[in-house]
Amino acid sequence: MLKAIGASLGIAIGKALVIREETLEIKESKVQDSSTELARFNKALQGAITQLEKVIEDVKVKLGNEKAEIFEAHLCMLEDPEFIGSIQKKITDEKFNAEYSLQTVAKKTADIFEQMDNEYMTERAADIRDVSKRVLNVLMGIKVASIADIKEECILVAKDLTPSDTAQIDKDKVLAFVTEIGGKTAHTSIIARSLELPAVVGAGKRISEIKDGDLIIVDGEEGIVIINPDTATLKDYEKRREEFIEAKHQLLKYATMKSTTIDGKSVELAANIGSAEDLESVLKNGAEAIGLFRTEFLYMSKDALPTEEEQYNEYKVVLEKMNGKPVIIRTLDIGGDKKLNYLPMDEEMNPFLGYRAIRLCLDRTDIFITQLRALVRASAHGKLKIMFPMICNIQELRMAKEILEKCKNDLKSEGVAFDEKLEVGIMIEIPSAAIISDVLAKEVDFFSIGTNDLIQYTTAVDRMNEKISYLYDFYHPAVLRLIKIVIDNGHKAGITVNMCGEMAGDTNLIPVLLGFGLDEFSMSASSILRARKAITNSSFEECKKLSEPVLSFGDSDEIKGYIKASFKA
Amino acid sequence: MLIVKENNEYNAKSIVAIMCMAAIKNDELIIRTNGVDEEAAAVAMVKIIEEGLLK
Repeated sequence: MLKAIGASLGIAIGKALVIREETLEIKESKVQDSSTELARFNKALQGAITQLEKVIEDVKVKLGNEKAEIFEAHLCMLEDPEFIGSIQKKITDEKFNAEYSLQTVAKKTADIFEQMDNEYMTERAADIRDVSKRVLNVLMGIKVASIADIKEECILVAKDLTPSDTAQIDKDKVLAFVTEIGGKTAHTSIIARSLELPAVVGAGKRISEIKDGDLIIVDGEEGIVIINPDTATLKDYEKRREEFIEAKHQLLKYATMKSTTIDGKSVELAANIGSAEDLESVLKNGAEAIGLFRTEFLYMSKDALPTEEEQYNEYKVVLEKMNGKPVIIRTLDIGGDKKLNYLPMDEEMNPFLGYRAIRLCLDRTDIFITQLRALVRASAHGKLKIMFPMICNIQELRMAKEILEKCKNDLKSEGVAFDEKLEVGIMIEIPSAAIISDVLAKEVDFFSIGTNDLIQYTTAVDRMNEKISYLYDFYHPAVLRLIKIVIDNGHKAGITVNMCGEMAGDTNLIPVLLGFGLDEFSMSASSILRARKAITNSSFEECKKLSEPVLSFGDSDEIKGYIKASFKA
Repeated sequence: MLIVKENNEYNAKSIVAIMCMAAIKNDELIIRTNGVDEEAAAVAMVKIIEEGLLK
């Protein structure tokens, strides 16, 4: 068994097709007539460009415009004055043959990328090699056997698959792939996920244990490859594969459905995101909104505070991609366990109860104002809603709103367009806020219950401490009662009540929360389809009736037992 | 048009050269332009860099 990196979910069982990398013999030689050699190179270059243009068209049809950008970048490389110019110069000035000139310049360029610290840039070396090999093949008149020509079902096993290889994969024939090198962010992995093919990458030299024609099992979740399995293992994985496929098929139909119960009650199923990069999965899983955009990741991925312009651009991209669907953006929630290397903060005895989130923002108004200005400006590009985290009293809310108003007035006087009806809400994640939610509800447009912290603060359980993790309990009666109080207080004031903690995606609790009257459930994108299944198979009236007794229990085990016995989710 | 980083010159019209430059935030870059529209070209290049080399 090989253990490597699971790059794309799923289980595949099939015969290995081992792709050996052809080593091209390049001879270094000098030419007499460099202008003829240059013309030969330019002709091959043009041939490679034509091939690439065809690949781009194919990929656009098969995988969409976004994936075709990889090849558009390859095209840019073949038209790059520095890269191509260096090869041409080597032919004309140094009178080297075209093959050697190309190989030398490509190796030098790929080596530069490979030595960079940044993983993304390191992986660009593969692009340089891929694009150079294409020209070299044309130059040497080598017709490469195409992955597109595979006739029988197989699992591809290779050192690496070039982006052009993966783009030509026929999903009816290729069941999965295993590579010797590569990481989760490599093109191969990205394309595997977009093709929804199981993939294990970075298997290392042990990949040579797989021989052409071997029966192999690829488990893309665990990152495991089993070579020539025994009958029992094979049977076990056949069963797992069927279960995986069945569960996936069953869930797919929910991607385009509305989140409406069988008796017509509609709620909103939203996704939690950390950056614009998460949107592909959000849209694919049919999220109706972004219920929580955690902006701290934007701050954590930089080495200095992001500027107003940088933030504006990121928020704008998210809003435009969501195409008019609501996007709730939470203002900076730093502190606690989330630190910024470039923003020194004092050591605290209880960081989760300390200087964090809105408390920090109200103190460091320079940071807060920069973010609010970016948010207000971005509101012109979609349905943006601003959410303040860690509000514990009405004063904090009023101060935050006052600063927001000032930002809006400043931008108005600068002639900047924004959404005048920009909604403002707060996270309800501190028990004090939940208890006075009747007061808070009168001054906001929506609530979003942050259950991760609400449970932590209500039960005084540090959710990072493994020794007391058994006390961290979704089903604690105090937590469920607080949630009901918040929903009722929100509805009395005529505002919507959302939930953006892990609890919102718990299919056992969804019918209870539905019965409590929760308006929006926000979760990780991969949980949306299962949640939609739970909602569309529920009756709101029944959930309402059955959730009432939940509030009368004094013990979480009783609640769990009751939910299991009463709800059919 | 050239971008200079740590005494190394990079062709500003080449995406491969710009990627090889591996410039990160707070690196000091010098832009050298020459020609009839040199001033406008330099201003445009500064703007592109300040905007994070986006399209």
